[in-house]
Amino acid sequence: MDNLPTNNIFEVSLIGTGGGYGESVVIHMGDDNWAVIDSCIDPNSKNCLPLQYLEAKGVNVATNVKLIVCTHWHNDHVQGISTLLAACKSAVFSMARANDRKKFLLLVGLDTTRLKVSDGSSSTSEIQSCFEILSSRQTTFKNAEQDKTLFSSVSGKVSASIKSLSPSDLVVSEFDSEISTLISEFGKSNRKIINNKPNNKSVVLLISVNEHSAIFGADLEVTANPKKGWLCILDNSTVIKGVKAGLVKIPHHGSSNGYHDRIWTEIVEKDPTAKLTPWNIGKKLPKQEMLDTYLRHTANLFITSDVKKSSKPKKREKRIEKTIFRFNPTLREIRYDFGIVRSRLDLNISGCKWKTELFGSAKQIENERE
Amino acid sequence: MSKDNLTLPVKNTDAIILGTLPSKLEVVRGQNNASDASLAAVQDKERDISFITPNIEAADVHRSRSYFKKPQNWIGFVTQISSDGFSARLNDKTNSSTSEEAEFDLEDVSNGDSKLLKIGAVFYWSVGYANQNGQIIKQSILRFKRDANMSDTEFDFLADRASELNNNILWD
Repeated sequence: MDNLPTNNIFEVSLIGTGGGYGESVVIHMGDDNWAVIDSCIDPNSKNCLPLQYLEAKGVNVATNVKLIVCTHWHNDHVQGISTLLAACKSAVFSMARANDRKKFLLLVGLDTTRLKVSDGSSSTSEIQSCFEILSSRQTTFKNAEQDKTLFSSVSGKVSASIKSLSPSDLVVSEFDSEISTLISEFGKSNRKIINNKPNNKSVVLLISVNEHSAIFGADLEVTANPKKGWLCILDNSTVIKGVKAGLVKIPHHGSSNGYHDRIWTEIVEKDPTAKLTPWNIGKKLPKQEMLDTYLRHTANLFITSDVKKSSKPKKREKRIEKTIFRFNPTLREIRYDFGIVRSRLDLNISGCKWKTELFGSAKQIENERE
Repeated sequence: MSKDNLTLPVKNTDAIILGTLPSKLEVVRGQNNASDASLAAVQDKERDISFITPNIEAADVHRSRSYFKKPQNWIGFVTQISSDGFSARLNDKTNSSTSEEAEFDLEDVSNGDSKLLKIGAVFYWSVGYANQNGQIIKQSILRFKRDANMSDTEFDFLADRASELNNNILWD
């Protein structure tokens, strides 16, 4: 697993943690140019997994990671991201645009100060740390929004670009109002700041290397309002026109609200390589009927680990287990289940198809009816 | 019979014979002397006896009368609320590896905390053996985190810091 891709290899590795500790995508765009989308951790060691993955391959993270994108402000997408940014000294950092930046920074600062809890890092403390790093380093922050180029490079035979397809203008302006409300309500409660529907602000990415394209759906959902979500991309994005992606990172853990038939018919080629991570807290995702739906579009469907049907309690001393069971038999562990779905294609071979390898708990999802 | 010699008939051998007053005083003096001698004898004996401390385990010394003995502690936050309870994600304070999730009844929330029950609310949960005034009982305690209101100074500090970050970061 540790071999470094050569300059002609376009590589996409989806890292999953079992549906409780986040997900991340590590991309080699050829020519030693790397990008990372989101971050996740090993809850036992607290190691940042994409960073560990890159370092294990021997990547010079300080110089060769060119872009880190935080797709949205959700705990399962930002764990360890500040550690990653600290190590990737040349990386540009990108997340969804906020028009009133000072207010957004104040909101993050307020929530970080309030939540001095020892429960591991919260999403706001990770974002706050990222801003502190960017401030001390004086490096660029790229606002992600619809049809924005976040990275581009032309070198020899390799031409690569990363473009954001969301959030839309409407979502950005709604978030600005939400920030004001959250700040004004700040003093009234003891709770973590919960921003309203963070999935709607997700940054969807289109990565193109030469003639090949890949779409990364983050957690973006389909909404009734065509000025938000996937419909806004399908109807209004200019950069996506004429694109047929050969690889898809399925949005929102394969949930039905992240699916629209138009995504698969208009911007994704037939029988693409498709990958997703599960969600194993509370409602389990993906559901079997959604897997069946995706299997109608592709036979190359991969998941980083199984959806857990049930979970067990954590192992503890017998007397403690008995006491816990007496008071709350519903307590169960959120298991850590590491898996990587790695796909590669050779840019030197015309018409090359993606080849996928599986590591850890990752598996291919096959049509059970066949 | 003279007034100075009051002699009562003896009713039984245990009766105190009241003789003349002087003779009575002699009797009492004699009794005192005898008891003094006995007391002195006991005191002599006591000096020779070592006081043996009974073999008992040292008790837990706590200043309060009620306390938890080695509880299992979590810090949690509310992820969902329903009509009769809520779900939460929890982190073990003594062993911060993998997280846990659990459902709680609304009855687990004390009246004073009920207004604090919201999505994202942070709480502490402890389970274990408690010593309540000497009585050992199993106990589960759930209490929501309360924050002191942020002072104007703290708020201004954060606002200034936000301004500083905004000026230092190279926004595109």
